[in-house]
Amino acid sequence: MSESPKSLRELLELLQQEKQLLSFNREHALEPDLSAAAQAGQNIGETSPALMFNNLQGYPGKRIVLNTVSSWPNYALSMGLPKESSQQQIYQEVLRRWSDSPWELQEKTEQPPFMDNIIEGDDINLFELIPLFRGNERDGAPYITKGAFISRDISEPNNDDKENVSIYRVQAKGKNLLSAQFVPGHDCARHLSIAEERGENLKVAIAIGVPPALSVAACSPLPYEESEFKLAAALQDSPFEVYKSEHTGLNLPWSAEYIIEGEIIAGEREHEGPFGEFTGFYCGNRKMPLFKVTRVMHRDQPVFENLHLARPMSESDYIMAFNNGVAMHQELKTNFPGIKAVNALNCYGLVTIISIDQNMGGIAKSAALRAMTTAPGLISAKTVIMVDDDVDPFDMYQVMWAMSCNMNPQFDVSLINGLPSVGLDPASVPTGITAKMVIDACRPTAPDLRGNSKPKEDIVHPTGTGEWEQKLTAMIKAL
Amino acid sequence: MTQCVRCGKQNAEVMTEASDKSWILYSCPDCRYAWRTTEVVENRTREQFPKAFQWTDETMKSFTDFPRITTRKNKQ
Repeated sequence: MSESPKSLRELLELLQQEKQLLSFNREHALEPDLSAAAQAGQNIGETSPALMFNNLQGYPGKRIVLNTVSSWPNYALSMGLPKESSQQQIYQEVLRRWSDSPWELQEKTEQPPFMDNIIEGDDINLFELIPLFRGNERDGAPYITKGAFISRDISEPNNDDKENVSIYRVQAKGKNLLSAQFVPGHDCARHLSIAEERGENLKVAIAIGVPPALSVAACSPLPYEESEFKLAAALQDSPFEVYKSEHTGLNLPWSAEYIIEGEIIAGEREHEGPFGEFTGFYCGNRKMPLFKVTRVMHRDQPVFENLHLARPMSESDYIMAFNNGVAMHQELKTNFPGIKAVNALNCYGLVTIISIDQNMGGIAKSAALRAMTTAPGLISAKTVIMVDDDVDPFDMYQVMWAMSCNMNPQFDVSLINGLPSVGLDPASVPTGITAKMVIDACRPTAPDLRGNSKPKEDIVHPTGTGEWEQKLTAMIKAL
Repeated sequence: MTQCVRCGKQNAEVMTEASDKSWILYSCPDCRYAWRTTEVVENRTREQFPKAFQWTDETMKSFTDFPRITTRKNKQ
């Protein structure tokens, strides 16, 4: 294991060394080339590289990187792990760091590199400063899709724990105007509500091109009084470097490529969308808050990092891969210490697969019901599949084996109607309400002794298989 | 002013153009649709823009607030 990259540039250098980055120096048009290339990369599969465009038609000196963390090797490298790490190995390391590593900020006073270029007032034109481009063909405008959106509770302006960082879709609406998708129930929506109650605008910032651990932390379901910057510190296993903005009072990631600062206008909403979402559909046309931009800062030769959303697996699925699962695991482990891993990477956990060492019959089903009431499970976990602890919930062949051979729909499927779901779930009726289902694919355990798929009566690997596996892997590598 | 590809109003404005003049980027202040003149033809021409994605004033009015607006409390 090596150190986790502390900036986007460190990550790009590492990806280059590890042959997980392709660079394009010939000129490319922004549409349709960039999104087509990103989608093609994702079609190639689970080991695809990042794509760096160094020569953009009409934007001299600017660069775009896509698919930065859009494969398992790139995810592993972004966490300082070997690129061959399995999903289960990455999951266990994220779980360990979340629990055991210090959640610590490092406030730097040295001027950050993004302050080398500062643009304010009437000089701001987002379409000129950032090489914005359309993602999916029916998107209503260019979107910023991998910006870390920062806000804080104005009733406690000095409380770093009540600062929030999230990644949301952000529509470019004008030279100095953006949209803000502040999802009801999320911390940023609460920050806006507090400001609107006082009749005040809410100061906000978007950081683009941030350390990879912050992108992961920003997509994690943390309680209101926990800081995503501090979780990023735990995930990268070192203090997270921030710079306090005198313009907005917000902490800014010290190594960011771009910083966009301004305020959300209190009491106003405006039509937004459409936008191709992680579900694979265009959805979420609503009236959203407006973000008036008052200052833009960027590094020399800035890198605009964006992500391409599509039907899974796309980059948002990779960034979110372990967050909801680890957060559910943290809540579940007190009551269900037998839980080994939670795979909530399918559409943010709409299908969740949990492995458990079940010490008596019925425990697995109980754990599934509890998973539906964890903070992340409340609006996801539409289907929860339970498997035994010797089944890797990240290995679909193993999960399908358990479903095929251990599950009898007469006894092992339970439906509960009328539960909450994420509003972007296209199957929810009405929007935001769904039935949920438990599929218990564990072997029946005493006193429930139905059927023939009993523990310890199935085929186990021959003695010495583990040693042979290591030997063969080494020999294959040396071929 | 230029006709908006999505809502058909005549108010679209130039946001910026390429340093080498190879494209112009427009945005509509009414429906906020934006497009570059080098995009696929469906995205830059009113006639070929898909009907299912066209917007009218009624379309925009039909959307709901997200999140809802919090009422200002009167100062004591």
